[in-house]
Amino acid sequence: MKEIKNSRKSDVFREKDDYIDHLVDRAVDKAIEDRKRHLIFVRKRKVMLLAAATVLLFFSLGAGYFFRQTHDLPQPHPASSPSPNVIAQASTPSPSTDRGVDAKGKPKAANMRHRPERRPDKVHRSVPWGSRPSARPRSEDAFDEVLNSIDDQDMKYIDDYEVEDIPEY
Amino acid sequence: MDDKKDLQGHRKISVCMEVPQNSEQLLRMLSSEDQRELGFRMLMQEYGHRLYLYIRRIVVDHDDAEDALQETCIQVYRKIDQLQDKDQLVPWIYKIATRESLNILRHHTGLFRSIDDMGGVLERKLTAECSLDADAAELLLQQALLKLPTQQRLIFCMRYYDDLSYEEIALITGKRIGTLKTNYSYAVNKVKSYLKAHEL
Repeated sequence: MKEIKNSRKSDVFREKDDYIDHLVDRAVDKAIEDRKRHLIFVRKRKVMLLAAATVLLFFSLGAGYFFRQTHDLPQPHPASSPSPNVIAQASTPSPSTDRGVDAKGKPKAANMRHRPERRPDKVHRSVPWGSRPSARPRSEDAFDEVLNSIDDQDMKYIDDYEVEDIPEY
Repeated sequence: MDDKKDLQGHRKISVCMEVPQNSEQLLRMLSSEDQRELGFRMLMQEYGHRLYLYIRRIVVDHDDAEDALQETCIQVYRKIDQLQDKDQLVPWIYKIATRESLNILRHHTGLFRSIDDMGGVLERKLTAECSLDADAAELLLQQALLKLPTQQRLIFCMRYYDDLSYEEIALITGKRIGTLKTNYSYAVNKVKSYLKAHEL
């Protein structure tokens, strides 16, 4: 095998060196052209994506405006948003939560003595079981109950009362 | 300036270029946006011939070798700025060439056939495309190589023809060096036994 390698003057293939060099040069030219085309394609694609994103943004804004117009929704007003003073006031920590630092510069731990007492489970539930909003009496039912609670004697007094007897204020 | 026109009439600047002695200058040119084209021409002037023969030994057919070389050049030039370690330039180019060559071979295989089953087809192509004045020993060696499995053939070609080190072959193929040595040893033994069987 070494003899084959050392005595190798021309390859087994019939293509000559000049022809192979020409092939390589042609491949290099095509690669350079391909890269130029590729760069142009990438730029075009970027522009197209940007344009599509812009169109989509405007379309979504227009659709939102049209939806508000057709459903008579109030237009968002700048006055409805909180003022910067309100935001700044809300963002500053309250003095009650600022525990400060101790002598070593470490933040103080919360005072355990003032910790709220732990309530037993389910005590915090203010609404009793079974009294869901749907089960509560409606306003009409409450009105009927009030009417029924009035004695007939009182009703009689009301019937005898004349409109003219009502004093003027 | 010794400019020369090629067959298509284009001016070739590769003739007047001198391949830089140190690869650092070449790498610097490839990294720079302005000199990348010139650096790529220099690179392929240095390695293009070797690369073509390497691809040709894998795919055997001339048209397939031309396609694979073309695709290799495109991939190399398009992704040269993505190469992290510039010291691995040559293994990286060989890696791309190997992948493109195997892709072309895979394209010729059937649905449920392996590249290793293409030995007979490639041998017929070799017989048809070999030069009339080709060395008989060289032709026999090529025929012996086509009997090998693809992985052993690749490693043998890189080690025997292109004189690549095992470290470089490991970078190209992604195999461990011990595996490469074993494969190369198997390949050499098989080729020797083939040559002996054919009384060379």
